[in-house]
Amino acid sequence: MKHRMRVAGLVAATALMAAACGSDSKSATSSTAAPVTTAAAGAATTVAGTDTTAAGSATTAGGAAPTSLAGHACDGSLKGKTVTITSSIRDTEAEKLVSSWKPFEDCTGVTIKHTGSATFEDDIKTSVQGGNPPDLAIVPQPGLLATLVKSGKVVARDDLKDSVTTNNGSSWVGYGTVDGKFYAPPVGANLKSLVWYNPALFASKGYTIPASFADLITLSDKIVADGGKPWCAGIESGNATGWPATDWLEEVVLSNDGPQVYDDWISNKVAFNDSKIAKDLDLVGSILKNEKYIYGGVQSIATTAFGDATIANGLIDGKCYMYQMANFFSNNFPAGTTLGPDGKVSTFPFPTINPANAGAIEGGGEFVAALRDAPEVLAVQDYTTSVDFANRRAALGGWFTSNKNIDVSAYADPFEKGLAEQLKAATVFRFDASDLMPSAVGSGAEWKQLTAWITGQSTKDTLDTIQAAWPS
Amino acid sequence: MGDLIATFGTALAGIAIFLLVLLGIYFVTGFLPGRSKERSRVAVFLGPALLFLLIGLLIPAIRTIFISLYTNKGDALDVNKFVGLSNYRKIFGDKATRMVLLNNLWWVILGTGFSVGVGLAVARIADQMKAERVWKSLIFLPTAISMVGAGIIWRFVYNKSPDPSHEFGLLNAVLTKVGASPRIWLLQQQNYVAGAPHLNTVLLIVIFIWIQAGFCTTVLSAAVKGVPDSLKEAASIDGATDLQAFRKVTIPYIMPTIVAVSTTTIIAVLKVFDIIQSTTGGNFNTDVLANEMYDKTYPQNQPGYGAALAVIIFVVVVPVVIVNLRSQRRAREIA
Amino acid sequence: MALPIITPASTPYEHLSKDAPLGKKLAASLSTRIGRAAVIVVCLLWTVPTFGLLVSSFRPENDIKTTGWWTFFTHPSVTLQNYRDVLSSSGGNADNFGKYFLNTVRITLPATFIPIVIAALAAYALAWMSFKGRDWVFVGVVALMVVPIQMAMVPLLRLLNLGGHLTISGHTFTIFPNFDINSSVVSVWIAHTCFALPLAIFLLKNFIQALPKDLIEAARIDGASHLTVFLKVVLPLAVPALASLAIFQFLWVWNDFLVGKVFGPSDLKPMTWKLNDLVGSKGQDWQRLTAGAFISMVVPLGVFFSLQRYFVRGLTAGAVKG
Repeated sequence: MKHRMRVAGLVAATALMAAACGSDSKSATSSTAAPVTTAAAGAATTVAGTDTTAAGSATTAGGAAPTSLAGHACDGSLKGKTVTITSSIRDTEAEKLVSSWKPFEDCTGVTIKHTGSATFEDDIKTSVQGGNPPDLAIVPQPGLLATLVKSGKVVARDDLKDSVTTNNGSSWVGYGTVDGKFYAPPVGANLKSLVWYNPALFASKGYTIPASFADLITLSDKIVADGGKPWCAGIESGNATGWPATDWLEEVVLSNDGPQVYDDWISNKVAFNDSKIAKDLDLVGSILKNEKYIYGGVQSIATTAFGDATIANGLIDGKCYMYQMANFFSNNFPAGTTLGPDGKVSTFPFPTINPANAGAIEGGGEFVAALRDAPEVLAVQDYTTSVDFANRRAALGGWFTSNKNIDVSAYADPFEKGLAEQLKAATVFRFDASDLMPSAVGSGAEWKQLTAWITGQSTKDTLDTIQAAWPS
Repeated sequence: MGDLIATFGTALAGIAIFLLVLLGIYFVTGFLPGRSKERSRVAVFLGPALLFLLIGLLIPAIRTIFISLYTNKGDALDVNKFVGLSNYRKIFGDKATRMVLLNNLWWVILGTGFSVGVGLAVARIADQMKAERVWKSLIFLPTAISMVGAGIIWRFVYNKSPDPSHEFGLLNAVLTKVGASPRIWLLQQQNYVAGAPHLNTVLLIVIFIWIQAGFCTTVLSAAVKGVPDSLKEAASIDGATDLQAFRKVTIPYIMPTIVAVSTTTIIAVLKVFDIIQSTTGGNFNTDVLANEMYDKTYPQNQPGYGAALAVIIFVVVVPVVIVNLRSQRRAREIA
Repeated sequence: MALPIITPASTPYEHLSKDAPLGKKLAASLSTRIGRAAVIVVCLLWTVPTFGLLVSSFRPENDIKTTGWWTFFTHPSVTLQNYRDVLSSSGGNADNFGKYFLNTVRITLPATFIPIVIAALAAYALAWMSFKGRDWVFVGVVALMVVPIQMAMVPLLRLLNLGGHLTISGHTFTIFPNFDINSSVVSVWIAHTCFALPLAIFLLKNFIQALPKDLIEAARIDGASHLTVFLKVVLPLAVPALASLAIFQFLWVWNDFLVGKVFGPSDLKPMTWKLNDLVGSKGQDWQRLTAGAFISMVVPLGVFFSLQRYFVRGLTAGAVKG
């Protein structure tokens, strides 16, 4: 998942993991990142319910100020220090982010300056090469992280490994590791293997949530027979146009061929034009390239923004019945739209293709990398990956984390709680493949070629061209 | 506000100091003997410009040429491995490159031709019209709009909604009104006449013309007004029609301006990337060199390949510049 | 010597001499009419997209997203909410455009003035001072117009950030000072100056060179120094060209996105940056985009309309001759 979406994305993933451990785990949690804790848990819950600024949830329950956060004493010792952060997070999301680390500023006296940019991925490269990098960068792709690490400017954080393992699991340590050294702990996450739908509409038409891919096709055909359009789809996203199509393909590869092939595909041990991948892309095509299925027609997919109002409104008004998109799409509905099985719109898991891979789920995440080695910078980095931060951010809604030790009740919205359940039930979790591939492919050929594929290019030409772009 | 004034105060002080230093050098070197004095004066006048050009454009240009001979192995941020001309070979070996070059050619021909053509026509006809300022202002309007703004504006023209009753794209709304079926304009990759550019490329060029014509009109209109009336009168006494007089008297007279405006526009065309970024992202066979260069350098992290594309743009344009300068000099001699 | 007087534009039919044949006269008048009609049509077409934006910016969010702006005329509903949203400095939808507006002003004025001063000096040198390789310097300057800004950004940014330092046997010499780019707007001014110079020099040199030769040579023979000629003869004559160029430079800097984004400190990004941020930040907030886009256009349009008369004299050579 590229660009804008990531913003929203964090939300989901975070929650999932959180769920995994249930609320009692907090005390166990406190790893380096969020050492203080026990009481915190309790406090966090209250926070979630109502008042975010209320008291340092971390250390003491109730109103008293915390004595330390994420292992840093609240003694104002960082007063006068400023830490700059850049990310792709903007707008309301950014406001929520900023207010989530406010307690840490109050606690340590540090000043945190955040700049969110629509062109973050390009800007971070320019600023690192140009010699004015931010102190911290919230990087949404492990691939980009690795690129930045190779510039030699990213500060290694092997000391955070243990806490990330405890909070997020060892695979998340892996995403933040380059050449054996750990650099960037996760801040947020998202869930991708989801299909958005309108529960009330499904109920009134007598449609049920498909349990398998075959059911999904049957349901789609039924909707067509009833005179409806089963699918909304849009892959336009400025110069990142095409990324939503990569999510489709990744979900099908994971669910059809399983995690081993998925991993080998990322490392190109399974070539991009392998017959397995070709078969999977054709499966995607059986939906996305089916003129009868797509609201607005197959061609329109290429020019419809993934977050377009016609999609959000289409689902609400019943112009289309389903839309495959990560959880962060929740931010694209008109204000006041209720989410969840009892709400106006909800999600169901992307149906299993091969029963052997049931429960496999694809997601993504964001990682915070330090580009200046100073105590205040590392302190803020510690905090953004702590349980306390996750609890506070979750309470503000529209966000998700891979932090298992979060208090699930902290999630403001039942929708995210549901996602957390889903992640908990997942047997296999895999990171967005295109975010892990070399940028020439994962941020280039794959987007462009899948866009051309939607508008008519053959599966073979498409995959051959992507494979040819793989750096030797 | 006070902050703002302080900023400008600083700026003014900075500029004043800068000019005083120049002036100082100028006077001090006044005591130098003959030729060195002359030379130092050239340095005072030309030096500041050359300094800025050196740090801002010349050094980066040379660096770009270097980078184009390297690659960044292992998806590194900076280039790290010398590969000779391999980036260039890759560019010319890529079958997509032909399309990109062809698109660029159409951009230069149509984009420049129409911008200058519309500019010239409006300059000349509006010159004799009553509300001249009004008409020229309308043409100029888009020049005052940022590319970001233009992207938003044209969204409302080319959009196609899945539901025709909710169409907010102007072009499709008009088509629907006259009974034709709406289209996804940015996907129109067919050429309706053999050899002509794809319709979607033409539609993107329209956006460029829309922005650039104002510049052309304004500059050309000033030149048209500068044609001595005595010349025009002489032509009409000879019985020349308005159009003939324009062709035989005005055009040759303002030729240096036309050449200057064309050169500027050609260079602007070859640098076009924001229009592409905000519309098709280079998909649907609409890619051009500058956009490809940006995409390769930043999102796709292939700085060597991107730099090679930049060098190609440079190599393509330099002859244009030289030919233009020459013909401009010739035109000046004639005029 | 006075500036050559430019007479007002001739009236439409003046050029037709009295003894031209009637048919020819009629044909000419017809073609004139067609030409004028065409210009009016083109001008109106040119304005339609912008007009649509203006109308849209006053429509409620849901209307913008679901119907064309032209339906406004049959189902009018007006709101100022979009403008309130983008201008307010707090609250969920606040974009604080006021702050970015001031940032743009802060960037634009010096970034307009500095390059024009420097370009005028250089243009004079290239037009009226004789030195070896003058033509080649000019060709080189013009050729630099072609260097894509995207490729020039990183090295310039590096230089401004880190300065240029040379270490020779343990001693470090600073060839170029480093700026505190994270807090200062100076780097944006320098970047704009660098990127604007080739075109500015190109246009001004053409203009200044076309000034009457005898005028300048006479002054030189009278013993006037280059500085005197530049200040007392060339600058006054070049005012129209300088003014038009300044207006264009102002518009280009005001509307610039790339340079401001890369060289601007995080607190001092221009309005276009904020506008671009609205594009697709969450869903498509068209309503705020339209209002924001219009706010960003107000000043450039104002500048153009109020200074339009300077354009009459124009930018290039033809205007002064005759």
